Amino acid sequence: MSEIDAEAELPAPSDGLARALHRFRQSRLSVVGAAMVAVVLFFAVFGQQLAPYPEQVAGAVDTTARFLPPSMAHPFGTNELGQDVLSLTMAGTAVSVLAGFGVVLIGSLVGTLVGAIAGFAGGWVDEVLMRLTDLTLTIPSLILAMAIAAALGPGFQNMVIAISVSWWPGYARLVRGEVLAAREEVYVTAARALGAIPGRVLFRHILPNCVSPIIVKMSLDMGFAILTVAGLGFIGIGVRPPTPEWGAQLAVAQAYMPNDWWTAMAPGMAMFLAVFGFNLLGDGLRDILDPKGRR
Amino acid sequence: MLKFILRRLLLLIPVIIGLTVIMFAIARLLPGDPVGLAAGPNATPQERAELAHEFGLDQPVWAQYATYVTGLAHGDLGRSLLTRRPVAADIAAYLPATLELVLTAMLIAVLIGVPLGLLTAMWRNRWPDYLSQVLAIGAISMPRFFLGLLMQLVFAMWLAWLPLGGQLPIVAFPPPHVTGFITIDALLAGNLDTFMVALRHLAMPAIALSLSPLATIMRMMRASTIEVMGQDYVMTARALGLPARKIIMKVIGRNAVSATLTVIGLYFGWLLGGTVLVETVFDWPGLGLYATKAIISQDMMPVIGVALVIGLIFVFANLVIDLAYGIINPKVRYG
Amino acid sequence: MPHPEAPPLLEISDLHLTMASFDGVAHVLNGVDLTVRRGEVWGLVGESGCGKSLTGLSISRLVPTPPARYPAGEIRFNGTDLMRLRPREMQALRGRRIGMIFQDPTTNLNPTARIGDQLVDVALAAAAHDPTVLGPAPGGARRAARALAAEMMQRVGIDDAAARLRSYPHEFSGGMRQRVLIAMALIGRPDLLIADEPTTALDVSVQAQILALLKRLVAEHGIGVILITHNLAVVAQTCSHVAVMYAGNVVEAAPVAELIGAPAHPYTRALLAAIPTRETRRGELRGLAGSVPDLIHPPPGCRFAPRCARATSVCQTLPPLRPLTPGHLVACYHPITEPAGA
Repeated sequence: MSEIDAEAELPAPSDGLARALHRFRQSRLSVVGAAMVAVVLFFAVFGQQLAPYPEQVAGAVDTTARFLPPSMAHPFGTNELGQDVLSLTMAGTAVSVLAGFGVVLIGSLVGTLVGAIAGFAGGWVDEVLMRLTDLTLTIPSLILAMAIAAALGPGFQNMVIAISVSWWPGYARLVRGEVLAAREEVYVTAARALGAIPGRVLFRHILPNCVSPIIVKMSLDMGFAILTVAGLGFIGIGVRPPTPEWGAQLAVAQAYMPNDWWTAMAPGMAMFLAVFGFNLLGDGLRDILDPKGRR
Repeated sequence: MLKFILRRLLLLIPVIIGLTVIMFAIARLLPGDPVGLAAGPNATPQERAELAHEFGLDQPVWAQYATYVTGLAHGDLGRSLLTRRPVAADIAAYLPATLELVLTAMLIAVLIGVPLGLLTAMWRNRWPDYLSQVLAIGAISMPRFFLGLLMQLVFAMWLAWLPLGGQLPIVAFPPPHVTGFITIDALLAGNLDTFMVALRHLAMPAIALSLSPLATIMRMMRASTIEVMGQDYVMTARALGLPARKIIMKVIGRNAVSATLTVIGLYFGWLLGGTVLVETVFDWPGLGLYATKAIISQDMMPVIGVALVIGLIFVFANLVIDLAYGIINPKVRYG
Repeated sequence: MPHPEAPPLLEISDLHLTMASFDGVAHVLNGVDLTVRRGEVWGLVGESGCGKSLTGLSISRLVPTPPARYPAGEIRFNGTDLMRLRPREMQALRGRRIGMIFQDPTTNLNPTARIGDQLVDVALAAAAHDPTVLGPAPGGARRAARALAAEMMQRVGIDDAAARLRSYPHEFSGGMRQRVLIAMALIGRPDLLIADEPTTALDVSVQAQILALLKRLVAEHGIGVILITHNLAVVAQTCSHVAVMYAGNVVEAAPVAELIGAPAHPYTRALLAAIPTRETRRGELRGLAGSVPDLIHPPPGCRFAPRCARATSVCQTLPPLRPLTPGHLVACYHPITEPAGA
């Protein structure tokens, strides 16, 4: 039962990788984006340890130091509990980034599965799955995420699950389209003629060729996922204090404007820069991997 | 054409059913205690039971669903635990404000985004183009609520040019209700002062909401214009002596706009659901604020109602877009 | 019907064109010479990449000049050097004095505009610079333009012209679309028509009709035509003169019968010899060793020399295009003087 390996015909990946890296370096914006993302990831991992006031990150307050304006000791001032805004913001990076990753990961996995099955199986399976996808898309995504998050209760995992529910349909549609197109390709017919079972055809031959649009979408989605997470925090759904979260910080800051406006600056700027970096990176990746697919 | 419209309208029925099933599932099958929240911490068990019975929450889920669907046929969307009013009435009260906000934001986005996209396409690869690209990505990345806060800080608190929030000052009398759009109603009533005031209240939230779609429309317009500019028939038009201005307007503009229409349609639906944050920041009395308060109180009827209404508007908007697309691009005409 | 005494309509002298590309600067046109008179139909033939399309585009100055440069050469149209005109002046000539038809009728018409509107636009643009195009226009320029459009449609053989003005391009067949493009190119009553592979994208039967149409229009209007193609059969049917291009040079130019009967340049010989019958579509260089030269590092002098059996050391300098016999020009130091073999 030896199966002639059709992969021998596919172009060597190392060649494409070198070229792709070259083109990536050509685009200054993508490089800037990559650098920003690297910084963000760094803070996501080490933010909590590097924060100047780690005990406050864990929840300690200092009521004598409430609303101190920016200074050397507190570059972005202190909040209503006397906590150093910079420390909270640094520590909050982890929450937003991890949550964003979680959402994109779960959304893409579930969506890819649904889309792949729908596209490959066709028939009523396709119909049912696509109706479900379209329906989920018709419900306003933010409201859907909020409703599920509120219903599930506070907490990091619940929030991620809730947002992922509104995220997967985009991937389902994308992957289904790719699978439908790939299904007609010659190499699929060849593999099946050689006796490959449908599942193997799907996973070993079709899906690997769909990977680049999925990766492009994932990178472009990261920014919006972070925004959604922060949005939920702003409303008050999601993680609870004392876990620092950018959106929640902003919500509190709004109440104390204009007098103590600096409490909004650090989390807001951090949010913006993180999303900006991911979007630049995502744009760059899209130009490399999928130059015709400008959506 | 008529058959096409009819067919799409008929498809609404399964959409409604599907939407309600999903939302009901979320509302009833997930943990939560809406009755407890609505009744308050000091309510007696009897008061809670009364409340539950009054809102039909003591029935099994499928019975609640059946009641809901039959109610739907009469335009009854249930009642809100929080406001104790029929959801349909609440939505009718809050929908116009959201629509006013969203339509204004879309108007700004299109009026600025489309010409900017055209311009950057014609000057592509020179520095204004690069700058606008970076600014566009920045605009998409900016969190709407942070931007709203910043605008409030600068324009309302520091410069005092624009009001802080709300649709109208608390002391103002709203104009007689015709459309529900305060700005239009003020105009219709001939009340220019109220119109100007309402406009100033509308300015910041609409601008905050418009930034992201503006940037995307600009980029899409640029991309499709560049694609059209490279087409053979543009070369033919040039070769046959058509002046540049005419070529651009007739040949490029029309073809590019049709591609952007789809984006507009997509964003319209997305914005409708996404006004939550801006409405919260600016205290704008719209559906987003209504739904948010309901969600936090686990009051699910309004949420289902809002989701249903927005979903339907979204489907309608897509239908209109498809029809518009057919008018602009004759190859896609539906017989 | 050639008119040898008429002044040349178009005279290209020593046209050089370079294009910047990723791997270097390509010398695409290496001193092109071509003279076209009224009433002459010149076939411009050669393989892909020999520069024939770029020559045609250069006449209308449609080659974008950042990546491209014209280091030398003149293009005289009715005596005026087009290379020196300002963009507005050039645009005034396009459509009105110089018409162009491109290869693919499907992509060369605006899909979202009606045929009539597209014709009217060209007519109006031409009339803006020359009111005689429309003639006396009692009902206004647009009306006259519409009437002219309908008339042109009829002349190119589209029945029921007035009604078809309201159609969209996708409602026409390929052959009809090409007729429309011909109508568009001629509606401004140009003196020179440049047709770049006008029949390559069409079926054989339609090809014949379109070519016959072109010939008829040339006879009726007395214009000069440059017909760019790689198909020698088309040339033999339709043209009065032929210019053969190779790697950026015109290597031979003569009346069609003479070129086919007594090709003087070795390349032309090989080209013709590769055609077993008149029905062959492509002029393959079967049996000719080597390949087309690299335009970024071209050979010095005659670019055909590396593949030529007759090349000697003198071929290291570029041979000028000069008359072998009156009317028959060759760019070769060792032209073949015997008539073509069987």
